[in-house]
Amino acid sequence: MIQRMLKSLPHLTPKRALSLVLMLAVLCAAGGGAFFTGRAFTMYRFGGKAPSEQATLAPEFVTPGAETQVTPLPANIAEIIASLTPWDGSTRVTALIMGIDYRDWAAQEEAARSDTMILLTLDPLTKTAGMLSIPRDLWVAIPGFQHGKINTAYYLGDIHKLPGGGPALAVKTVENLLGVPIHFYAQIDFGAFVRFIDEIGGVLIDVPEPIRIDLLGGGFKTIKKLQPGKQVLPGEWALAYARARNTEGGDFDRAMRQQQVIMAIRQRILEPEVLPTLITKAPTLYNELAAGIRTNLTLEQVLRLALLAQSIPDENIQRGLIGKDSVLFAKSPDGLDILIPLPDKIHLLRDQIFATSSGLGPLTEGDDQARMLAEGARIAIYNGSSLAGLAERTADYLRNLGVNIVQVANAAQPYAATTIVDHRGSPFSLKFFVNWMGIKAGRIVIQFDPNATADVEIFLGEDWAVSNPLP
Amino acid sequence: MPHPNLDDTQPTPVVKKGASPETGKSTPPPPTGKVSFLARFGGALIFLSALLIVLAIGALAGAASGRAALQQADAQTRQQALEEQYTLAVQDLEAGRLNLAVQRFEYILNQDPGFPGVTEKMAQALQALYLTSTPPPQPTPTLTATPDLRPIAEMFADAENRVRASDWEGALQVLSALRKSDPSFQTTRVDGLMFLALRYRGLEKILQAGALEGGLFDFSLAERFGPLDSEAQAARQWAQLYIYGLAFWEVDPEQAVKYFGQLDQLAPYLHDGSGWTARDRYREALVQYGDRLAEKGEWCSAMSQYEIALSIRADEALQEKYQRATSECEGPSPTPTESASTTATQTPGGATETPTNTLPPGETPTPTPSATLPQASPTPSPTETFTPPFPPTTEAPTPYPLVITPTEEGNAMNLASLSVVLSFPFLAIFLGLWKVVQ
Repeated sequence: MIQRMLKSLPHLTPKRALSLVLMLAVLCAAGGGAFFTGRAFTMYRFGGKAPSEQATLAPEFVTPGAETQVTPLPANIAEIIASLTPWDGSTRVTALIMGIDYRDWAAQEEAARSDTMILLTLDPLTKTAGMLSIPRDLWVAIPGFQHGKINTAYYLGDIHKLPGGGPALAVKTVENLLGVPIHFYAQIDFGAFVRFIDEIGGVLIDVPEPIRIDLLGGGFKTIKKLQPGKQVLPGEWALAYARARNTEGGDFDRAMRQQQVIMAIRQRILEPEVLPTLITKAPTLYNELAAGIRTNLTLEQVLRLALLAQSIPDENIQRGLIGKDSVLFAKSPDGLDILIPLPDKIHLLRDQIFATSSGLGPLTEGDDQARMLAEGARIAIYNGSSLAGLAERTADYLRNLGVNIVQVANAAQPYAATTIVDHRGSPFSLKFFVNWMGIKAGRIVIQFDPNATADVEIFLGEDWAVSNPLP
Repeated sequence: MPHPNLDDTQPTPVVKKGASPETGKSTPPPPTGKVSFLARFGGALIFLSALLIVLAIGALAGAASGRAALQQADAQTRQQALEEQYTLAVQDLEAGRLNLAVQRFEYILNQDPGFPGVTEKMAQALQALYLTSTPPPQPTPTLTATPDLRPIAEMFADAENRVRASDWEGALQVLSALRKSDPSFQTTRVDGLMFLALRYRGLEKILQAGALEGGLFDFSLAERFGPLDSEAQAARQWAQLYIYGLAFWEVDPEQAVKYFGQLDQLAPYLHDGSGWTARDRYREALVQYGDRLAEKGEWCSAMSQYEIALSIRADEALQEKYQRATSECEGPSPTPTESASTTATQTPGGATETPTNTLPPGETPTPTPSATLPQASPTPSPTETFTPPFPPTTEAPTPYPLVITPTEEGNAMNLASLSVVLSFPFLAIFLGLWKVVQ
């Protein structure tokens, strides 16, 4: 059979045989070439990260410490960008933005201190945002180390090769200081900052007072003076303006200027022609800037947050800084100038920016009484006073208001002060009764018990018997 | 022997191309339209197809191989990083830098729970760090930006179950997602559950996890719904005292003594994330304050501080300081007595300075018996910490180098286009060869 097949073949001249061999060789070479090219391309294209991880750009928060490597973009980045929607998380997103100390950076130190710390926050639910500047000389507890200036946390994390390095330790330190969970961080170096500002065509800054700025590089030629008034600053000038601290307020003034530059960047990006262009250019820009940014944010997250930020009006952005009134000036044990935080003042500032405007507030509408009625808590009233019939009178009054009274009885023991116990989580009832009956803070009890027969129990005391608004 | 066929031995006439072999005469070539395209280029097409198939298979196999190599390299890099962290963690553990060790072990456990030996070492570090029964600080929960697409009623039931199970963190996450999905769903009940979860999570953070600021922040959020109860108020005041004392740590020991002294009366085992308790802090602040006073020559006051510190926990170094302060306070004696002030309970002579139990303005701590605190247990030794040298602060003369290093990957083409491009040179070679064959 084989012989027949061979006979059926066209006559194989040496020339034809040679050609056939060459063709087979070409096929082999082509296959081999394609194999190695495909392999090299894959490694080149997805170098550093598995393609599967790249292609999906996982939308989850990255835990601090799991730093995103500078990786190339997936091939379908254009499609991803086109299909992006604003950040749709349900809770507030907070990111720590850091700049490193120029002196450490220019000296190419193995590890640098942070020079700027700004905590940015966005609430997708209430469409509010805020930023809080933290002075670098603040005296704080650094997890795992002795107390120190807050700007050394970044250095310590890097020099001791902690998981996540300097940024992760800086994040932990700020979390410890403020109690606010921080999901992301970004450390932007000078080059990346300048390049970005130049890319968006500079920023419009209203300079309030004459100020001497020092462009990067050192020497007399780099010293410039900015006159008061609105002016568009290119990247290098904007950076110098944000870094300048030679005004009366020193570091505190500088923090204000940094926030001013951030707001100016936002204004510029929101201009109709800028954001679409920027998003189109995002992949190229990302590749150019990636080496100058250290972050645990993916590009997709950055873009989605940017889209969310776009929808937040200016009046919903709260700005604050830990200023002179929130600190005490002091010297550290080794003689450095430090700022001792005044916790009460800082808590006020924190709550103003992170709690008051948070989506984690009540959604029930109305005044205290309306909310209490809407809550519909089952109320039990017990008379712990020596005045007979007090519980019934109180219950009648409350029934007329529409309160859901489920039990009226005598208390098992006498009460000097009226006491209220919440078993189910009835904050509006608590608030109403505490205000209406003048219940002292020390007489409020929360004991969660889903099986209790009443949601809220009120034990009337002698104070209520003596003084009450009942008819 | 048979006669051979002589015809076979006859010379064959040379036939020109296109001529009939019989006549040898030239015949016109067949009309070109009658030779099919397949007959003419079939071989070429077969070869071309084979070439493309080989190229595609090769490229795909190469891509798969590259991907496998990358994954292997990635795993190797991760493994190396974990091993490095493990080595550093063990070093930290041996050197008593327990907090650092725990941080590193936690990271390794997060990345690779099966990493050999890490669980035991972590337990060892935690045991050393938390001699009391208090659990370690909880890491910040990882949130998710992806919307919860479950039916609202199901989410609500889940939240209620989590509240019943005291899973405050989980309840808050579900409730936040629920409010995002449908803010109008059972608004007052959802608000009530939020209030409960925030209040209890805040309490847990302060009394168990040592996340004092985090607990205070939760209380601030809870207060947006309703008033806090006495237990939460007490915990808040303790945390505030602790944080105030901590603000002055190592800088103004007198202030630290003031705040931690009050806290030592109210909640001595309240602790922060580092594992230090209020009592540890109080003792250390007393020693620091005593040292400051001794430096200024105020020996009697220093002695008082050391004495209180000794009453909390005695150690040799502190005993020596106390003896020195006592002898300096009492003045040179002609016949020094050996037994002078050798016990912590001995009442020293001279002025006795006790920390003033004053509060920051507007604060009145009210100890509430119902507040749950860890049971009294042996006071753990404070974690050893260290301060590495800071980087030099001199202005560097080096010029400003721009370090924007664009990555090149962005311009790469995809695999399909690569295959096409690759096929061009091979196609050219093939056409040349085909010509030769023809």
